[in-house]
Amino acid sequence: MVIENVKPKFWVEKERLNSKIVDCLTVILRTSGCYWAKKNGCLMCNYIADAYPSTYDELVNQIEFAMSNKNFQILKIFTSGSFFDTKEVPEGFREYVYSKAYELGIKKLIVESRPEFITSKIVDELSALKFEVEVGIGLETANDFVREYCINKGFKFKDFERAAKLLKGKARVKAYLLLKPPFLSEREAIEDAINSTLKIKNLVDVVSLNPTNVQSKTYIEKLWKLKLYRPPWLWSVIEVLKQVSKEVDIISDPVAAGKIRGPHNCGRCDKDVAKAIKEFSLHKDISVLDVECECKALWEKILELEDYSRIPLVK
Amino acid sequence: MVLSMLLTKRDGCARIGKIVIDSKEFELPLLIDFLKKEEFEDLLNSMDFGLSPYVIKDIDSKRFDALKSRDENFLILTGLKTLSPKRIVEEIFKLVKNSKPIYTPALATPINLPLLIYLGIDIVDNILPIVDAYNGIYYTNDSKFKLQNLKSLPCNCPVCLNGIDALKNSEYEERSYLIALHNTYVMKSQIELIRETIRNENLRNFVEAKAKLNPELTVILRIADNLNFCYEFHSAFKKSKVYFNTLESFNRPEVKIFFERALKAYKPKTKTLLILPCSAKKPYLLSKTHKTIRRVCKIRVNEIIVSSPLVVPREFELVYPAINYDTPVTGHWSDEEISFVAERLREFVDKGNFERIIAHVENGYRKVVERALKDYNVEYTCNSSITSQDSLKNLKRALENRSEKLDLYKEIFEHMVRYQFDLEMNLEGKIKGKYPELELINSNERVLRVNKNYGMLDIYRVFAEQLIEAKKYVVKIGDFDPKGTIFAIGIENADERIRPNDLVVFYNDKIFGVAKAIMAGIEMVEAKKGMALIIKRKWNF
Repeated sequence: MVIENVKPKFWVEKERLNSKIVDCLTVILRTSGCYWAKKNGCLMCNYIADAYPSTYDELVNQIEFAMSNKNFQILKIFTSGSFFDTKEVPEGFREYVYSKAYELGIKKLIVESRPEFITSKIVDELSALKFEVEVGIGLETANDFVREYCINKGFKFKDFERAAKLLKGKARVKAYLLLKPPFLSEREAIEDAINSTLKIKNLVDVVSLNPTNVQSKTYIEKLWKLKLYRPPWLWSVIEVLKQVSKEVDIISDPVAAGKIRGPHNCGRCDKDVAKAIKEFSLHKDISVLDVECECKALWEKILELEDYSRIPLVK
Repeated sequence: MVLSMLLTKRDGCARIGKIVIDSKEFELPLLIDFLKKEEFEDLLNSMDFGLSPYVIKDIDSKRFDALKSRDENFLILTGLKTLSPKRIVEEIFKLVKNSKPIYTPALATPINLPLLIYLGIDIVDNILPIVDAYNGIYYTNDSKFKLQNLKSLPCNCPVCLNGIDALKNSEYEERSYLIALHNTYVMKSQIELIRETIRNENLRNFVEAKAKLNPELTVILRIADNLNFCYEFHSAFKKSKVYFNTLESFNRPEVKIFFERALKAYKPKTKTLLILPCSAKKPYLLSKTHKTIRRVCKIRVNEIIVSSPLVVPREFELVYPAINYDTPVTGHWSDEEISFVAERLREFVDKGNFERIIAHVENGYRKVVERALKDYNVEYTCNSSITSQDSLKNLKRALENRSEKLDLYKEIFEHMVRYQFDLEMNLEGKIKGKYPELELINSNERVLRVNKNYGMLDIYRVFAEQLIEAKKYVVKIGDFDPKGTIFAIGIENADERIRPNDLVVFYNDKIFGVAKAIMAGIEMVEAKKGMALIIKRKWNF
């Protein structure tokens, strides 16, 4: 069936669906990869390392393999690129996914794409489906300057806005925001995430806050090795969530939380704080975010001082 | 916002001055205290830190151009902490001649502070000592400790007066804040001390001593010396005593300037050369040993005095730093010391046409002469001690029946004129005064006088006119009648040879006079602000 070297990554996790917690199958398909990553690429991303130019049949094999013997109500399909880019995901495969999803009776399909592939044709395609679709777009920040120079994302806010407006009412819109692009201080990063959230709250259905992690062979990794970059504190994630949770539906599932390459605190409290963030994302209970640790005082100092140091002051 | 900067004193690259922002004054070198951020709010708000740290420039110049600091008033060098000591010096070296004040955020600690100021940093902060405090790190002037490892607090600041138990028993946040407060006290007292040291032109001695406590600082100092760091800003004449205490002392700018100038200016005249050891007392001629030798023997030949690291022809013994230094004398000479001094001695000897060399030296000094003058037939006259009966008798015999003549005081003046002003002159007049307070008088008018505090010549009207004619050490000022101080803004042109503390002649169409330089010549022309000259005397044309 599935060839060993093109095995997709997949797992079942909990997701929130209409205020209920349900099982969600997440599959990361091995596609030829994000076209932007091949051309130029974002400073924090090296998912292109996992790229493999799967054919239609191979992709079908991958998804069949991932779905076998599993129960789930939400299907999340990631390609580490754009689901709607036909150069990346072969023509016809989308149709296959839709019909498979319908066949399995799932409640919600989640995919992701850069805004340039979201056309009115795509929106028509999605609105015809019998189940809910959510499209994730990596906006990263609402600030064009930061997106261009600190992330190198290659599109403007107005591109995102156009895509989001097209999707609005036809499919759910999820915006990914990056917490702590390189070159922002910890405080600036929090401010950027909050401002971005508030700026897009009427364009999106949900915000996914993604604290940066240091992937291998990325620009960020180079900075990190030179002690010029540190992933954000988990306290910063909590700070953003607390500040905007009343305004917008926001979730966060930090990758590599508590690890030195991921968002982390002092090492003693990371597990508890990361757990609180996940809890909040599932249950929307803001009180779970009231965790404490001594290191919060250090984080507060860092917020004050990193604006001036322009480099990380602690590991 | 109105910002202005005024420099008032230099000691090498280090400078004292003040910046004024909207009528609020900050003294340079400045410590920005982030525990009292409100006091520095105007200053900090005026600064553009940029998004990217300064050190990105070599990693990604394109992104750096988009994200760098665009501050118009300050050079803000962020991220230097991430570089090796060598790279830190090299980065500062590239920028230090710029007239803007330099700020290195998040780099200073009490330990590296004197060296940073020595390298020309004008503004530092306490960011690292604060962050370290939150990691339990307690600083003293020269080292750092984990608070938990301390049995008592080696400090008398208000925090430490409460005792170690009070500190150790307080909660994390409070304890961290208190340590940060203590660390800041240490920084503040250091910066006050550094300012005083600059005023006393003594920073180098202090920095060398500090460097010995930390290999990284020693690395920085050595690299800076090898780069001839800010060479043109270092004074050739200073009021402070030079301590040759460390290996780095051999590479001091003072030593380089001395050998560079003395070798160029040295013109020995006699066929015989006498080599003598140095004395603790300066100038050497006032020492007991040199006095005794001269009482017993008639010395009318050129003399070179061997010391470490200096080698001083007698003609230069009133010149800084020969007139004002101390060197640790143990009797033991390291091989490096012998080589260094021997090479310098050889260079001086090669300037003359000596037919006979008498070396009245012993021990290490003799090793120096032996290494330097292998191919000469040197007569050694010393037996056990240089002032023993035997030794003196030998020396006296060696110097007998020499028909040579040397007017030492006249030679001293001519050599000092060459050394100080790069000027060849046949001096007319009479030398008066009691050594070393000599002066040259011509037609009842004083021409030159030895200033033994700075190891230089003070100059008067006749000589000033000659400097104007020679276009050396002159500063052309605007069309005004200066009083007391001349600021950089009033200067039209200045000789590039001028170093801080040099005596210079300023002039315009109507007046001329003698002044002491506060800045280097290049700075006087480029800088818009700051004190350039302090007038000593002036005349009408």
